[in-house]
Amino acid sequence: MTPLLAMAGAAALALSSARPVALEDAAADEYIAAHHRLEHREISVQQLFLAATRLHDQLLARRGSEPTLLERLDPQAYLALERRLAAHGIVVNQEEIVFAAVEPAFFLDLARKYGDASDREFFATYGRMYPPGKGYIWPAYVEQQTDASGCTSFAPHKLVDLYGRWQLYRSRFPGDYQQAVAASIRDIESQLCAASCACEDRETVAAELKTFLARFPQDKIASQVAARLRAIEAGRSTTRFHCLSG
Amino acid sequence: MAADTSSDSTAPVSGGGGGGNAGSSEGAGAGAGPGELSGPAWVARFPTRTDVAALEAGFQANVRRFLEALGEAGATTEITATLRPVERAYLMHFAYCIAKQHSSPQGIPPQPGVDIVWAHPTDDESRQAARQMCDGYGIDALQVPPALGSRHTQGRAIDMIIGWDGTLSIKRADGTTAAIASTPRDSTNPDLIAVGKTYGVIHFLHPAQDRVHWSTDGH
Repeated sequence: MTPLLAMAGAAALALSSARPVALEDAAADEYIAAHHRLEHREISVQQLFLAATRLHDQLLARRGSEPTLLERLDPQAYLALERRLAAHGIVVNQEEIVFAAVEPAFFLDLARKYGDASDREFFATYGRMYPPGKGYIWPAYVEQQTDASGCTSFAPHKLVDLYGRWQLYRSRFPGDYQQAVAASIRDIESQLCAASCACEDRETVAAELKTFLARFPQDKIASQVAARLRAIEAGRSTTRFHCLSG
Repeated sequence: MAADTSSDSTAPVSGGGGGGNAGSSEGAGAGAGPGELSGPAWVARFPTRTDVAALEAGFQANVRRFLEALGEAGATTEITATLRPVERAYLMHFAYCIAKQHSSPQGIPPQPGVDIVWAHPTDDESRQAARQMCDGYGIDALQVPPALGSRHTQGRAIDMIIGWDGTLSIKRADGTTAAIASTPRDSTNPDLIAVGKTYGVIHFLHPAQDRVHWSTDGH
């Protein structure tokens, strides 16, 4: 065999034995590279958060009823991915509730190290929305009851304070984290206007709605909240009190 | 972070009527008739069981013994889910996908025995109906769709809210007693999880990620 052919043979062997990068690894690589770029101050914390959103979308994209990429991973590949991402502030879950979520405390640390006031305030509020010990995907105002469902807590000031914090954030930093802020506000609005599975009794729900109206009398959802309050007080509401969801 | 991300495109709506499940076939249940439009009326159907008797036999016996030990120890327990019919899991999952992830109502695969029509005359109406279903199921605030298949659909899982005051003195399966003075005083307590394991009732392996879930194998 001539040296040239030997070289060509070796190259062919290398090519044939090279495995394609697994989709989950490619997605994780992209996100982890973004994290390293943040550490070198080449991108912002907000850009890393967007990279985390892209990672989420890649891992959880679904066609019809086929499992997501995350669900398709065998135990070994899942464990490897879980460990890699945990070191970079992403928590994944493959069973029961499938998710890829940012670890709020990790990102708050990043915001303190590499971010500005907007980043710090965003993740401080995000951490209040998804507080420690609630499983990363349950907002502070939802009490988990089954693996996939929960009731809405109208405990005093819980919904109203969070709403106020997000609104204040949006007024101070109107262009930042737009999608996440809008989604958070929209979700709290939906709870205030329509959540029909309430953890507490009628009086507690009514009190929180009154608190909202006192604090945000001119808000765009004030009329809906007022109508809901009237229905509750008149006994016409479809809200289920002390509700068991699922 | 996932609340407003979308992976699926929204296909054009082909008008009203019963064509909600594009591609649905005979034997899928949806083909039996014109079907019924999605909406809150579906929430009451295929209910999630909350009784222990609905569990698979072997697991059921283990759960009964664990519950008895909890009761004797003075803990409070509220069972929130045992068997979730696959039909309910399907309804919950795809209501979420349409309401929160803008999946096309025409693209939802059929489920045998569930004669639901996801596509209303307009996309807005389809989404509104799906949102009402999500609210009824209590999954509205969830960031991700509920799983299509799980230990619950197999009758091999139970969700329960557990609490107690002070120190919990509870019997293990071998008859010895564990005195649990640690916190939190709920189902994520590591010492309680260890006691559950002696009965073959295994808490979700990542307790913080599913606080109320116990099963045959921690999955």
